Amino acid sequence: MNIYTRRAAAALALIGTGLAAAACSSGAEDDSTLTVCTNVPFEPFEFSEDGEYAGFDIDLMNLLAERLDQSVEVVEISFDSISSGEALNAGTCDIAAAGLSITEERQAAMGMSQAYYRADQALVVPAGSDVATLDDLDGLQVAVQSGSTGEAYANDNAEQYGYEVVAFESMGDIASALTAGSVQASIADLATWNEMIETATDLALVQTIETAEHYGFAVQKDDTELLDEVNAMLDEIFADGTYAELYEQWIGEPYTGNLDQ
Amino acid sequence: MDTASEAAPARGRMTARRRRRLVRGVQYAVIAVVVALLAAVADWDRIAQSFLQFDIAADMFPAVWIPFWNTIVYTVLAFVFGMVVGVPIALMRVSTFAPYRWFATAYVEVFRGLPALLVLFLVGFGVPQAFPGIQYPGGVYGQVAIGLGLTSSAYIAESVRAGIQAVPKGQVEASRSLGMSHTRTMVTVVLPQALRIVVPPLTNELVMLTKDSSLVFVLGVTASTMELSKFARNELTDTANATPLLVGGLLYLLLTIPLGLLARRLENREDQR
Repeated sequence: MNIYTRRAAAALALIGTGLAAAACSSGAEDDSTLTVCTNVPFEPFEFSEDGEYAGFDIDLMNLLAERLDQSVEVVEISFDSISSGEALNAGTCDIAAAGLSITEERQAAMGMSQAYYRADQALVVPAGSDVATLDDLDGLQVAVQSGSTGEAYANDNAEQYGYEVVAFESMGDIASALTAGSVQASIADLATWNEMIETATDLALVQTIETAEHYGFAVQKDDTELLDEVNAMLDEIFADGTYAELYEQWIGEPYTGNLDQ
Repeated sequence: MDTASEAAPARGRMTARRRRRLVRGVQYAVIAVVVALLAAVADWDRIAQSFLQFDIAADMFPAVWIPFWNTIVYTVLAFVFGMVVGVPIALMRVSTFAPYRWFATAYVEVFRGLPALLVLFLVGFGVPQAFPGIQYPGGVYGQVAIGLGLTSSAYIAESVRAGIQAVPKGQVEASRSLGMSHTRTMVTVVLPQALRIVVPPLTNELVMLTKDSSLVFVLGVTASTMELSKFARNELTDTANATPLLVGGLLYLLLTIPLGLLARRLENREDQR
């Protein structure tokens, strides 16, 4: 029996050290890092390349971190956790930069910054598909990203066009599902599709859907301090031309000086 | 079949064996036909192209070792939490004090009944919103230990309870008659034997947890806290190829197969006693 009690004691000691180690390792809250919630891939705004995160949003977050004398740490999380506000309000990260359109619901749930990009939706199908417009979607399955404005648009119009909405966790999953043929079309943000179909040649963008949305960054609901910093940063780079430079670099066309043109 | 009939002396017992051999032979034949059919139907070039791109697999190394290690860490943390909570719950389940039994029963029913994903969401998003400013020790590691550990503790509690009840009553009676208190009997006589009995089911629980650690991505993961499934899925997206899924799957098996073998060995050792 003795050996078992000794073993039990050893197991308990192990458990104790494990808990102590867990308690000691550093937490997410740290003044020197700006934790940024995002969902990749969402080209050209955020994507990972050789283990590094890059994109329009990531560059803007780096500018913000520079201003705050912090460094960016990217937290990958499902988009619906971002768009519902739960990731921010649970303290998973300081700010969300995820090609997040400003909506009334999101303004109520989180602190939303001023607009920094004008976004529309697009209909994408596998290359060679018969679908040319929304009118051709009757009886088909349409992929959307869970929690996105594309999902909201698709749900609002599902009855009119007679398709079925299928929600996916990331844009990468949608691209895989389209290629594999498990869905026949997708509605999601235009800028991202434009970028993704350049590499995924087996997909085709067939219709632009003008929804006139605007992307904004989101912070925890009462974090007005960080929200003021984000807005001040955006004001500054709109004025000094940094924004126009980044816009041209990532979107691939010159900035007109007005988000909506 | 021929060799079998030649070797078979004319004894009544042998007909049964021959029949058994025939049935077995048919089963082998069916398997051979199915495999041959699959081999003929499958588009091997296409399969190789989707799953066996060695350069893509090679590119995953050494980066894949960080998520691989995290998968182990998440599993161990959740298991430790599950043990620390589950064993006391098991003791409460067999307690003579009724309120303990009620609490333990309710606890087991709730956390065995809730999907692990839902519990993770509750721990990660529900609790912090209900109690603003709450900090889990170890950040995401603490969240995982609790989120997966709660579900696990319910299963562990049930296994350990079965183990406690499997310890012969005579042991308790003997200890009690020697003047040991009820608690002393439990801690020094029953529990050590019970834990030994439940090592095989607990190993199974560890295998389950290894796979459940793939749910951690819902809490939000950084490059340094990413686990194996999320990593493999990201690689799938980046490369538009399924090879990373195969590599990720093999790495899970690298963890779970030794655990399964260990469980079987422990079980066998138990049988021999």
